[in-house]
Amino acid sequence: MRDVHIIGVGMIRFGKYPNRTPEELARDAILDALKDCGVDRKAIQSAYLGSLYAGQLIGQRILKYTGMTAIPCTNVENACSTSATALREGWLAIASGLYDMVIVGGVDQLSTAHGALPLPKGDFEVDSGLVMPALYAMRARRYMHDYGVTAEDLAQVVVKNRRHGSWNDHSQFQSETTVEEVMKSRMVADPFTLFHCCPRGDGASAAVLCAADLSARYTTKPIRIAASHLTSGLFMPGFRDMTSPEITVRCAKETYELAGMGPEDIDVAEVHDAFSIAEVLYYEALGFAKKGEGVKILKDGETTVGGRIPVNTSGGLLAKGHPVAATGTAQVAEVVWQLRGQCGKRQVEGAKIGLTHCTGGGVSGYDHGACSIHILQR
Amino acid sequence: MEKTAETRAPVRLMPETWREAEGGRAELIAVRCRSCGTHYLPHFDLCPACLSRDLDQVALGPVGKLYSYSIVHVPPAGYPPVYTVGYVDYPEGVRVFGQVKATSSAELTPDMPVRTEVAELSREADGTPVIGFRFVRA
Repeated sequence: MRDVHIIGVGMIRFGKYPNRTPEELARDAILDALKDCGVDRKAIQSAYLGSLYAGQLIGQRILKYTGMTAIPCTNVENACSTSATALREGWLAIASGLYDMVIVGGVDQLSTAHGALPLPKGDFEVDSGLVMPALYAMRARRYMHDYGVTAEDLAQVVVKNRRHGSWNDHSQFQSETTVEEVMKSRMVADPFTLFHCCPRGDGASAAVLCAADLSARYTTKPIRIAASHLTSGLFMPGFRDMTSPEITVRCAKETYELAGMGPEDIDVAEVHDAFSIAEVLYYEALGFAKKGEGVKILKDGETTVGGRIPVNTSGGLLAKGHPVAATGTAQVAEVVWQLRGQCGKRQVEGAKIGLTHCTGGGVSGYDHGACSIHILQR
Repeated sequence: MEKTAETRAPVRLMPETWREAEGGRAELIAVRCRSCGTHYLPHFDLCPACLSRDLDQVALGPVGKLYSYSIVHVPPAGYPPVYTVGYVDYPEGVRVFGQVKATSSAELTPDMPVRTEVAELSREADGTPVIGFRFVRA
């Protein structure tokens, strides 16, 4: 396998664009990524694109708008891990020697719908009343019971990420908040109020990947993909510990092995904070905190910019937003900017190695359907 | 005359997984793989663990332990404005998702014992009631 570099990244500011189309949103992210590395669109040999809600052949529909037609296009759908999966497919195509230069990305437009995101009908839990906020709320309730933490403790994840987001021009929320404000927002799924949940919004993101031996033509700051990994949930019809996310624990262990690294090597991380509790569970699953000590490292400031292991410097899903299929490559854009030293007020000084993690999909019997972790290195 | 929601016969959600017992109670029915012993609710006609087709039906409980729960204030179409969901663990080694009878989280605590009753869970778009099992404090 050959080494693969990320040479360009792009994303639109996440937010509400009900009068634009998914094709237009994705086009802007792709052109942004191409401009970032000065690559001519005609040099792109293949595309890996995805969306959860934009419908059939979204990749070809997007490419029509960028004038990049008549190239192989693979459409990807893996719930919240959609564009991370697209990245892995693009990485694999270059690493295997098939192509030298590809584009990957994702788009979703959620501002035109209402309420919690729809889950697949025909699943028994969904048909019985399960909504995504309630699934995470049950994880939170059990974690609070087992480890003696409160909803106010979890609200501090939101306060931290909203502060990070206030320093990020690409973030949907650009204002800070307080524990009091988080707790006073309207109830969604006990113990979560609205601000414990990521906002509904629209977004698109993309990345240009290049064979490592060619990247010097385009950039002086290539970012190496040290590990690209994807796994699926383990079906468990019986008991499972909802405070220890099986799929992320296993995916993290395997990804560290692939990279020949451990959690102590990571300088900055973007993790899947769809709800406040998620970030705490993922500190522990990714090895940044011991079991039961996620809230402690949060309160000690270890995961804030300036701390030991800054997490979600972009604002995360809670502030930046979570247009589902755009999240994976948006996380990658943030880590690429961090490793290049382009993050201004939210810059993690001297960051050399970063991690992105996204997981999702509500299918009964799984912790989640899909999980993808990437480790990037400058 | 057009039937109103009140006169429509209710639809039973996953009717193979429960039957009505005395006093409005519901008895949960899982399937058990006779080859490897794994229990499933919802049912499978082929055991995903060992691929055996030799499964039989067994009653669960009647009492299980509430693993976790949440009171939902963002109802999908057809659900009441506020309803509660939870996971319940049964001694047979199976975890079952369902609605829980509660109006406040103060009424609930993780690991509390629950039994099952028959209740209306939601309504279809035309108003037809959907009934099934619901967990209540034992």
